[in-house]
Amino acid sequence: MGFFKKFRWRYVLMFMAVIGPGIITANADNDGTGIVGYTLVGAKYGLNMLFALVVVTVILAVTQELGARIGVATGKGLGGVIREKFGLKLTMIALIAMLISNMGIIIADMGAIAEAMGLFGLSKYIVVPVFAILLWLVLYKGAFSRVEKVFLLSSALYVVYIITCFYAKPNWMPAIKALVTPSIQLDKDYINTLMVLIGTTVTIWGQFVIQSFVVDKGITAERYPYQKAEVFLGAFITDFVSFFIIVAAAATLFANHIPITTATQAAQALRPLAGEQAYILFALGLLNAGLLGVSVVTLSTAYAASEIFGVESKLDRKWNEAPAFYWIITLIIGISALLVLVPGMPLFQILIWSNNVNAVILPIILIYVYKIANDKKIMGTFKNGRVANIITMACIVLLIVASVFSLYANFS
Amino acid sequence: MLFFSALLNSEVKDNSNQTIGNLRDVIVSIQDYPIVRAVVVWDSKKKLEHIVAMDQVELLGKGMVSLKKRENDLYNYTKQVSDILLKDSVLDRQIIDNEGMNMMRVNDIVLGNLHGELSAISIEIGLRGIFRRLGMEQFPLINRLSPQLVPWKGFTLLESGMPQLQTEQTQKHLNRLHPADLANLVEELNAKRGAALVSSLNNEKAAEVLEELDDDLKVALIEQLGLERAGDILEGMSPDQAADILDDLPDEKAQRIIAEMAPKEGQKILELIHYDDREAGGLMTTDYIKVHPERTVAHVREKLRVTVDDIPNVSYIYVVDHEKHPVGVLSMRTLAVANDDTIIEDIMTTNLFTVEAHAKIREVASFLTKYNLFSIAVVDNSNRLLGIVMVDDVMRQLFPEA
Repeated sequence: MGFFKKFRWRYVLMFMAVIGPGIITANADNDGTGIVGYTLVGAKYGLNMLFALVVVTVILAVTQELGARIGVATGKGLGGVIREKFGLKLTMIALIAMLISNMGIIIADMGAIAEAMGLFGLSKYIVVPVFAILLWLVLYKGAFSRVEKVFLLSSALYVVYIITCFYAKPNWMPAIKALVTPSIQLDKDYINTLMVLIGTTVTIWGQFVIQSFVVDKGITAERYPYQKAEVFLGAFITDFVSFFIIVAAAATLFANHIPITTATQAAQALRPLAGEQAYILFALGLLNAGLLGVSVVTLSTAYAASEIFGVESKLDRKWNEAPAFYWIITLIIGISALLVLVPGMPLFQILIWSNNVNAVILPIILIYVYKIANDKKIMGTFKNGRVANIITMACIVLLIVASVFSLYANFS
Repeated sequence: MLFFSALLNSEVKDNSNQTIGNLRDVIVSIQDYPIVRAVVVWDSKKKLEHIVAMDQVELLGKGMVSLKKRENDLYNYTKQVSDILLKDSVLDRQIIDNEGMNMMRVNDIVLGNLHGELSAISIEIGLRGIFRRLGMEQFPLINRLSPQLVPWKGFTLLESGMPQLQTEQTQKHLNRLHPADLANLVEELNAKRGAALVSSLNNEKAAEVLEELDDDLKVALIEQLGLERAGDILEGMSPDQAADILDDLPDEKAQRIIAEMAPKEGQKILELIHYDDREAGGLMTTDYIKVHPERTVAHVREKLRVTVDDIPNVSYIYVVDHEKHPVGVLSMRTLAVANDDTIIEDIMTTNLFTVEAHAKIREVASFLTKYNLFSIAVVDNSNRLLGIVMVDDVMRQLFPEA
């Protein structure tokens, strides 16, 4: 008995040691675009897309696991591995795809900050410059690793969605049934909303972040099985929260036919819990998610680009020791802030569109990832097996089909 | 000046001007300036790879390669152990310059004639090389960028999947760099690749580099190094530092690493490991010089001479009886002016300061400052000498950022 007990504890300890990459990356996944995205999904189609959420969770778990495995096998970030395997030209295509997707998400998250503060009645012309400078300072001074913990802790705010959901007294049986009932509609609006769901959950930057995270943590081959479990758990937790956001939106916005075109309307999803003050909770959650999103995605972009070009990229370096790295951070924050400041910019729509753009570009990066995972020279014993290949390929094909459909639906 | 990027994918023609395929890679033999030995040609029609030795090559120039023979008459070059492929193992890989200050990527490679043979001369690391490979070199503004070249001899390839590149020369190079610079590189590389870099160093240098790193990375690196190598490197560190690192590892792993070490070193570390970082036992080192009171000054001098490598800093000689109880202390000054045949007991100071192994760091620090000591003896509860705490170990614990 004593032995058995000790044995189990050992596993628990090994698991604790690998906690971080999967759960934190997944948590950061619920950024500003995530909150708005899931709310939209629930508001427009009620419980209808819950089955799609299950499928997307599987795709998230599969792709994140691939990223983590490449990290353990190579000890390098995704940008570096792509450059070394594919040469400069193909790397540029990957870089541009990543930049478009990441810029979209950063602009959207900057917009989320403006929208959130707008709910408190503050003008974006004041809020955006102030937060842009603050974010820049935090990233430049290398204080992010400290601030990150605050963001992640405050993302526990999402618990309000779970509580709200119970307050809204939804019918649980239909919700659970919807999880296992495939349903699809072939109209433009549905496809676009589906793309939002995909794009907000499985992201290009998430692919880069999980890999760097595992590399930074120095996970060894023997610990990998625990890491894998942690990555799967992370994917599950993210979409566990998403489930409640969607159900809460379905029980409030969808049930009362409230369309969602502004942040205030999205805040209504929290009404059963917070009543007329719902927008305060929503605003705080959105602000936090926006700040987290801008910082994580900006850093990840700067790291990936630096690694591709082989320039220094450490947060604790001085400006003149890593100029390219800091220029990238500065430009990204500057450009996204300026774009959000353009008068009449449809901030709320951008939050939704950025998810669409990411979903369309996503398969490109996943094809690189797939090729890498099948390269024996790079992966060694971590090479994709046949079953993993079939599952990965199925995920990629699904994503491509959805992308093609959405392009067709929107441009024909 | 011929750029490797201009050569890649060039059409390769035989002596009857028939295109036989495209240039896929170039084989060079590793030396200060590697000589081009052969070109790899891919015939996409026949799905056939030719490895054409340089003596069958008529001309090798920008965008065109011509051979001296017909395709059917070509014989394949036999690859030597010291040969590497430029595209496969060098292009796009990470290198460090030999001052060890910078890490960068190979954007292009410059080939040229050296002593009558085509050789790889330098590496392009700048932006212009990137644009050249993207076919944008002649664009306005871009054509004003000057190429940034480092001589082939002046850099070290970090890893390439080809073990022969980790030549003796490379290792000599890395071992010459300052530990702080190497530590910076290791930080940049992260645990797995950092471990690969550290394991190409000698044990002594590896230990110095390890001591420079932050705690988290140190532990991650040790885990990646493997038990045996980790044991060897930790042996080279001072026992208290080694104990600190092992303390952060899972118990089972630490035990297995200690088992890999020489029994004497392992024992010292084991004694240190069960004390807290912030008490005397955790701060102390077991590297100090102790003698019995009946010994002579000459004996002590001899002892100082033979331990010069193992125990770098000595402020006091500790005098212990045969039950290991401390009975006195000898300053270096007393020792310096004494005669060779003097008995230690006659010149040692008997009022000796000791602290208990579980004494808190504050207590140790106040003792050291109050009596102006460089180090203080640590004893167990039956007053046996365990080790000494030096003032700089206390400082490091109290002000880790300094």
